[in-house]
Amino acid sequence: MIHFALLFSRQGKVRLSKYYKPYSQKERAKLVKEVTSQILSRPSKLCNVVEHRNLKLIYKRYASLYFTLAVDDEENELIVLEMIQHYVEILDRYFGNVCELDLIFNFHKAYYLLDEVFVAGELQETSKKLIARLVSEQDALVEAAKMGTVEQDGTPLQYP
Amino acid sequence: MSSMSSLGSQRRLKPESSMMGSASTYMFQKNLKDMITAIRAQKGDGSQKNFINKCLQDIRTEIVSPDVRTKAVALEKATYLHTLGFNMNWASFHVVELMSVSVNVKYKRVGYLAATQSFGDDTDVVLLIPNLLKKDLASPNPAEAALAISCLGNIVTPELSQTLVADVYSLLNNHKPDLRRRACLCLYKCFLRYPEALRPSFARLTECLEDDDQSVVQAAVTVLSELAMHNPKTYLPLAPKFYKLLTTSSSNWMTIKLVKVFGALTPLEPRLAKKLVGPLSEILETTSAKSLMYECIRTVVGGMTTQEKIVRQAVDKLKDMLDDQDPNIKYLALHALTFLLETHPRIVAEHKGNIFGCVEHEDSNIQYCALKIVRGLVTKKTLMDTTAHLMGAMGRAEQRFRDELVWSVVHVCMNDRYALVTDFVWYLTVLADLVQVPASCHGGLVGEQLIDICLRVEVVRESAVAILKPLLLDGSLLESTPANKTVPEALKSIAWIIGEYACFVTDHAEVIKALSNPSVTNLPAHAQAVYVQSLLKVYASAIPEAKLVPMTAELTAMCEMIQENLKPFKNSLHLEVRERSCQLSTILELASSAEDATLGRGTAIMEQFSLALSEEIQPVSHRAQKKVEAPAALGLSAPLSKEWDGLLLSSDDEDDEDGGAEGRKKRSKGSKSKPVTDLFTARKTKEQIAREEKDARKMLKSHREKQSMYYLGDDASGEKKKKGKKNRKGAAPEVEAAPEPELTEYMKQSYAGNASRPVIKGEDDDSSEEEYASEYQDAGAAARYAPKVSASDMHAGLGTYDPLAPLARGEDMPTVEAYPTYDPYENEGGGRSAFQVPERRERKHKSERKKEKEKEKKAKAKKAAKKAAKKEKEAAGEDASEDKKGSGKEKKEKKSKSSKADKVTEKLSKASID
Repeated sequence: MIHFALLFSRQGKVRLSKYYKPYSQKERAKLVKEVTSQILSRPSKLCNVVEHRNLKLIYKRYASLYFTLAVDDEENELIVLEMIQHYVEILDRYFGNVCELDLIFNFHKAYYLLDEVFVAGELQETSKKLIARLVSEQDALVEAAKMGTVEQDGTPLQYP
Repeated sequence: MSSMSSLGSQRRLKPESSMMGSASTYMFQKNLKDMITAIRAQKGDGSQKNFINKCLQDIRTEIVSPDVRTKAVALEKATYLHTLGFNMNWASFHVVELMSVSVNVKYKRVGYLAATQSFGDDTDVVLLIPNLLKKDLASPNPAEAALAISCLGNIVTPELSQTLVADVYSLLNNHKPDLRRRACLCLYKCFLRYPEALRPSFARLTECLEDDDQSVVQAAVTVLSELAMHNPKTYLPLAPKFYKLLTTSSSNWMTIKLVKVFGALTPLEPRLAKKLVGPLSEILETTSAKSLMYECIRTVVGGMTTQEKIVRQAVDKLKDMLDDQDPNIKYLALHALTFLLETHPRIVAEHKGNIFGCVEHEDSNIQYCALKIVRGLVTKKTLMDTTAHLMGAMGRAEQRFRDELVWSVVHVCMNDRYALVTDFVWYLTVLADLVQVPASCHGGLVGEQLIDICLRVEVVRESAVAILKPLLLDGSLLESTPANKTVPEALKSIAWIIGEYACFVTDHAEVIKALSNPSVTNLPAHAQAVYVQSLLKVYASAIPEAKLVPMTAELTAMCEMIQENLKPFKNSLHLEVRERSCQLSTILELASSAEDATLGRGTAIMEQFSLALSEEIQPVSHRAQKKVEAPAALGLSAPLSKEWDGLLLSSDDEDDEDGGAEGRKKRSKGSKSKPVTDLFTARKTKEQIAREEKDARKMLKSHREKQSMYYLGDDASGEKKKKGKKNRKGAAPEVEAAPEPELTEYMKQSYAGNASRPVIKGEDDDSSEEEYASEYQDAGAAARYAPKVSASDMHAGLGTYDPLAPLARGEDMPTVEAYPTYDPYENEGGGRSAFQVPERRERKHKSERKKEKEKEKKAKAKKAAKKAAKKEKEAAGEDASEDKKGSGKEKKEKKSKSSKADKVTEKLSKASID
């Protein structure tokens, strides 16, 4: 199970953070500090697995961004790496060649996408196509609601 | 009418005016993008912080706006700042407000995002949201339900879980597979926080394994595999279902989960391993996904080590992985090999070359893992080669890893009482090399090893002196540099060895010069002291054995050198060093003045010293104390005083009729007040005593404050008096609680049940687990798939277990075994039910024990009576059934009687026994 997901820049600035276990605000701040410093200090070309307390941090660097998932000890490292890759591909598909600025200015969208990929700390959907469809549906729904073309229960009028 | 209408208009006016205001804030509100751009434009941490604080102030004013749009934007901004590390707890009420907006999912989404990000166990508004979440979970709009599920999956608290788990559960029946899947995953989180929920949901959850939609099946597999990791044993009955899925699954994601579950189950069930050989070896052969292959290998090395064929296959794959350029793959391959160390060391040893190479890999993960394997692979034959290799690696290693290497070398050699070491002179040279490892932190350890070996292996002492002398002479080791961090610890041992075995020293002058080197003062005091002491030993050993030979020029020169070099030591700030050096100096003076008076006299004195010092120190076994017999006169079990004995008996032995007035009073009190056992259980008594003592102290204090004038003279006596009083009040149970003869009796009675209780409990489960372990699997696998929460822990805590208490950080979810009343597999048999709650053996108070005794006595009496009655009845030719009835009636009657009456019967029965 994923305990938390952290996305931070090379400067250690947190871009996205999601905690699937109840960490208090203080603990979160401490975790961020420890995790970022631990991962940023590692030269590239080393393994993407770091032990942190009783968890495994599995990270992958894309351009200037580090995607980190903290998982239980018995989790398969390679599959976690694939999960990260999966999420990044979904981001890429959604934003079209995603970059750090996309994630900064559309952090809420990135969160929505994250919620589509993981629920309660588990991978929930493995099909990128399906996620893309769901998200675009939701976006359309939001837009439709904005335009008032939606019924009270949220069912869009135009969409059968 | 008119007044009414005016009221109405007033009412209408208010919101309108506020709408106007809100519209203006909306118009002038910075949107999210503006704010982020502005924050990014701020250079420097300070100005950025100031700016953000300003933004937060704006947000605070905007968020109270009744206009939903303004509120939403403000909240979105607050959420962004929250990610940057700024608190948004203050906004939690507004978050809830926005979550409940139903006109547009867009706003709801903002609210939910903010809640997911910022709510925690300590958020108080969480109390407000159950109904809201309930409504959204049941919403006909799947987007809303999905939002609620995702949110719940993050912020669920035990209370939320308790209230909402039923709603999540009912979503398992939703017609939308998307929601079913989400609900399934969310349930796991609910179980984690509120374990009670698992019991009723379990059956439906397993049904999800047969769902039409693959993604739902996958979710169910995920949840069940997570649950199985907590307590694999309970999930063994699901193995056939998992197996079926494994053979039919087309998704790698799911196959990995399934293989993982089997990894946890196979150590418990050997037949499973046999069955899995087919599918797993097929996957190993065909799959191109490294992750799946690795999972298979993990399962094989974890619990299927009995299946040689597939182990072979897995190891072949591991070989490829070891050769992989990707450090992750390499690391994981090594990690998997560590599991095989115990069962298949030979197979692991085949990859020795590769593993040795990994010790010098640039990645520390790989290094540590490889080192672990190397440590496990060492045999008598390979010890020297391995050590040489590790010593070679030290030069290139980083500081931390170098320390690890030093530690590894020493521990490989010293393990099992030096089982692997055949040549101790070789080991001494290794240790001597280890002393010189720069900046090592294990100087002390190496020093201890040196002394240990010299003490215990007599034959190496001469070589030890020869090997270690160069280190003593090496002036560079005495410098206090960071590279010599712990070298002094080792030097201390070396100096001691040279001094102790000075008879093997050949060049005394050189050694004495080294021992009294002025830079010895750089060492810590305890090391200096040893150096000074060794000086005396070495000098004394330089004296030739023939008696009354005048001192040679060499000896005099040495003596002078010592005297000269001792000067700085004699002024040392450290007492020990100073004392020893002064002593040494005086001895030498004594000897030389005696020599001056009569030739040969000084030598004689020194020879006496050398004789005294040459006595050997023998190593003492840590079990030596046991061999010393205790003197017969030492009565450890005899009571300390007869007086006390009487005291204890009178206060405790309730059967003792002539216990005196006090004893009687106490007993009557005891028999009158019903909760006598409660009152006297150990814990309560302690608390009581503490409270009473506190009260007494308080009283004493207040009394003293009031009547301080009276306390001047008889301060102590007053206190004594008080204490006496207090004792009478509070100590009665205390005395009862721990009377000595009573205790021994008690120990006899319930030693097995009480004293060894924790052991038995632990062992109970351990042994059953170990049984499995020893029967079917290797120890490594057991370690790997040891349940996160051992069942015994679960049982032990059950009495006070509060399923509502939030799990602490790092605490894992209680296993299913937390539910004492339910066992879905109780029909499966298998002896020990996982759900059985072991009877909690309370520490019984003696009053209870007494009662038990009495009961026993009663029972005996009854039996006797019964027998007698039977005989009578047999004699009378009466029916046996009647007899039974009669005795049953008797019992009932007895039960219904009050405790007083009980006592009477008890006495009667006693009398009958007598």
